[in-house]
Amino acid sequence: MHIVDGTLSLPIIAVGSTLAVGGLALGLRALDAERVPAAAMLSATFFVASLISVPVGPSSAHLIMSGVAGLILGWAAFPALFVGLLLQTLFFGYGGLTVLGVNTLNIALPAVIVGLAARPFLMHPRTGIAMIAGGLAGGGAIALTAIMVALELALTGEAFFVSAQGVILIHIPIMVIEGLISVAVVRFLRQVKPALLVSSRRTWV
Amino acid sequence: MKRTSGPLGGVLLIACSFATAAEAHKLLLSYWFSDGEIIGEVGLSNGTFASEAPIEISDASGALITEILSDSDGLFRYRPMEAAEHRFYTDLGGGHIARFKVSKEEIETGGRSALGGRSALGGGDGEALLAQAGPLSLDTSGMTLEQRRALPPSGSAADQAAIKSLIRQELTPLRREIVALRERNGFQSILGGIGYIVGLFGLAMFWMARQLNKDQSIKAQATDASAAGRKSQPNPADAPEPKADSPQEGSPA
Repeated sequence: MHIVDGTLSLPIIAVGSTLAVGGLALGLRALDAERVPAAAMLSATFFVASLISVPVGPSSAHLIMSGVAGLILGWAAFPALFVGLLLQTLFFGYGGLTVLGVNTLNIALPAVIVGLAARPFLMHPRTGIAMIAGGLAGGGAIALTAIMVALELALTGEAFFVSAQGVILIHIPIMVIEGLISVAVVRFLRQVKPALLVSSRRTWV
Repeated sequence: MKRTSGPLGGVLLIACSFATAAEAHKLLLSYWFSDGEIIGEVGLSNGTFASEAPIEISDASGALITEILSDSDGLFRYRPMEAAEHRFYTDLGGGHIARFKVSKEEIETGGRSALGGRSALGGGDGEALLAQAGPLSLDTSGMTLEQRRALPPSGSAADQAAIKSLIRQELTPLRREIVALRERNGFQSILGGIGYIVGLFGLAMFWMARQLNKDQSIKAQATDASAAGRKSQPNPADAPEPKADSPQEGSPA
């Protein structure tokens, strides 16, 4: 899912990086002291999850775990996922420094969107509805990210069109897996630490 | 704070337990020279090699020269028609894209210059050494009968070619091992990354705590000041109330 250095055209990198900086600013404002440990934990989860690769046909894709970050952190998912991406670039060589902004946007923006959308249902009196919301958020974050990556690749040039289609197909199993993980996380947090699922005053900017 | 991170710690632990067995899937493209041919290798960073990967070869202006496919070992060969810059590009789909450039100088020298191919295999000084050495006496004790039979009788050009292909063959698994090793995300980098995350967010906590202390001390100073003000003179906030009441109180009087 990480876009590599030298794949995207300059205007896309510029626009993506600018939007990512904006998201980071909003995220840092939304991050209150009480959520910092949760943000750190989700950042570490995201960092390590990328090492879990799932073979898909001749290729493979890896877990991302951005949906859960969006559910718990809201806008604060931006800085958490940015830190994870930066370290993945430096330690594992994923992506690249010039496309760091675009990658941050691709992964964090869908996380925030699904988080915002699913949030009202997470503490719904019926556990089933909360779990469905969590699952849709977990899978939806991946779907949105794949669509964004595909669009960026397709916008860069005709030659990438096949690649762009591939991005979406490859990530279908990842959507299913992360949807299930999100269901489990929501169910678990409802029982153990419901406060994490209730938005604190500053989480939503 | 500890209770906040508890459930998430479980997720992280599960993720960690998979991490050692799993591999990244970065696309790798490397090349070297052999007898004026460019030999390239397409592989994924987990040590598997991409067979039938389409390789687009274009010139310096980006115009497509030809398109070739890699063989079952992920290898492809291309003999440059002219000494000019060649660009190699492959797209395995799903955003797995890799490319490299071979400069004019490299093609002219066959990778023998300092700028030469990025591999120790083939080309380079090895050829010159072989040419100087002339007829070689090979130690055939470790070889199978088939390999011994495959050896040409003397140090002819055919002999050299056979030796080279044999060496290449023998070194291929080693090359793969090296690629896989180089691209492996060791436990150290995982722990290192997690360490950085803890450190960075620790710093954030520290900074937030400082801000909070500052805010609180400013508030405390403000309340101290207003408390002191209340003692020295009547609070202005209390003043309007008696005023508002005063006409009612005053009218009967």
